[in-house]
Amino acid sequence: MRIEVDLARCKAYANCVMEAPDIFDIDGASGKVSLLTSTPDALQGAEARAAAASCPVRAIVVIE
Amino acid sequence: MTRSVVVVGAGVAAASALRSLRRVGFTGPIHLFDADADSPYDRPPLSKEFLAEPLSDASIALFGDGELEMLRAELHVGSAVRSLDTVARRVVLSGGEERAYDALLIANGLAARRLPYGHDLHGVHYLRTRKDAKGVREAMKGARRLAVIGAGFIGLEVAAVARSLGLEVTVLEASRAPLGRVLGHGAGGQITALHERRGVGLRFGCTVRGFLGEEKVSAVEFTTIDEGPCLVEADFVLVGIGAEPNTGWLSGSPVTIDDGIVCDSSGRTSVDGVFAAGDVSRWINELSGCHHRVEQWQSAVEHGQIVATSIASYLGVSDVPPARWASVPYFWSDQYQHKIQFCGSPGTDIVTRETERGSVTCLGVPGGNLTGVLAIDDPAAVAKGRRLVRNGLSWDEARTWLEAL
Repeated sequence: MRIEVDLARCKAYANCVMEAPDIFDIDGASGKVSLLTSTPDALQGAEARAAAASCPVRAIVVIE
Repeated sequence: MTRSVVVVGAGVAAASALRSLRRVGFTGPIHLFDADADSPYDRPPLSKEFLAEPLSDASIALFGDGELEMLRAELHVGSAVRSLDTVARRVVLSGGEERAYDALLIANGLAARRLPYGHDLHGVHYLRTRKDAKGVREAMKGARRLAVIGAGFIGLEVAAVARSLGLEVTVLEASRAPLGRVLGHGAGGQITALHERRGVGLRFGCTVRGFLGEEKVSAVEFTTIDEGPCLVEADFVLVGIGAEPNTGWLSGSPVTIDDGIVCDSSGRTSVDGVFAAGDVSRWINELSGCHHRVEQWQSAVEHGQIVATSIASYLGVSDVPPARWASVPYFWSDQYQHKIQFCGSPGTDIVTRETERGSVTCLGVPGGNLTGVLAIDDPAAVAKGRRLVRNGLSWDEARTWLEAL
């Protein structure tokens, strides 16, 4: 599993951080999402998908 | 035997359920019927950037290019459902056509609550659909003075856009604080200040009496608790006094309705094979043990994901028991250049702290727990706060957390 984020779309609502705090964070300097890992393990799959689904601007793509 | 799913509505709860149904392995036909004639769109931008900028319809489309084909879903727009026959397991469409289902998902959302007068006056607007938003956007171009009735999300977001475009704006609110339905009455001061700083007039404790004007609105008449009859001039009025579940078509059906369709924590209604999700429904939230009807995008997404597991289990697609909803309510709003986010529920004690990024307000019960976190321009704090509320952080610990931000 791989995660891609579109920083041009990201508006830093942090919905992804709520769903998957071990994968996503908000970068204080850029005010955008940052990835703590772009290749989460199988156990984090559900969290990653929930994060993508909860992004209001659909900036997160989970590639299975 | 192939089983089929019928979905009433095509908003975010329906979309979330559709995607999740395919993910959990349901392969049968899915038909979506939406009363709105426009192709499905995302609702949050309608009262924000869609008003402020000339955004295209495509930029707020709910489904990506080719996504519906990939999901093998049949979408029928402009197709309202008129009634439900739970014995024959079919819905009747407004055109008289019938559609059988093995599982029915009702996710047709809300309709704007209407005032009993003023419908025939030009310049009086409501905002729920994309068509409404285009009407508001058009009206805003030629208007000078906007009166907003209701200091809820829709009202304040439209007020912010209009003020940014240079209109004079007055907001008339019945209660004592903005966003009272979700924030309670103590925590709205920050929001009031955001608007007042930009010259928006907010009036609380108002009872709107009517409109002046012949063909076009010219003023709003209202009374307040302290003053007698008042008048605010307006050539443009936005009524944002809440919304009601679209359940009229279910009257006479055995589906239990009580301020929305009553569901368990997995989206099952009182009728076998009938499910509901999103704003139209009132689920049990297992975190509180209570029924909540929350008009929030995030809840609609969660409902969709959960109800899909419920439907899959019901249709025998999956052996996994249905998921259950246990979630801290959360919303966001954009007003001016500020990001307003709140999670949880009101409290009796309120503490605010300015952080490097913005401001964070904790709501809680002394001797009890943290119940909610309101952040302006501090998304990381509200993300963390939502977990703290969920974990039942004590109010004392919450204050320590806030001090350390």
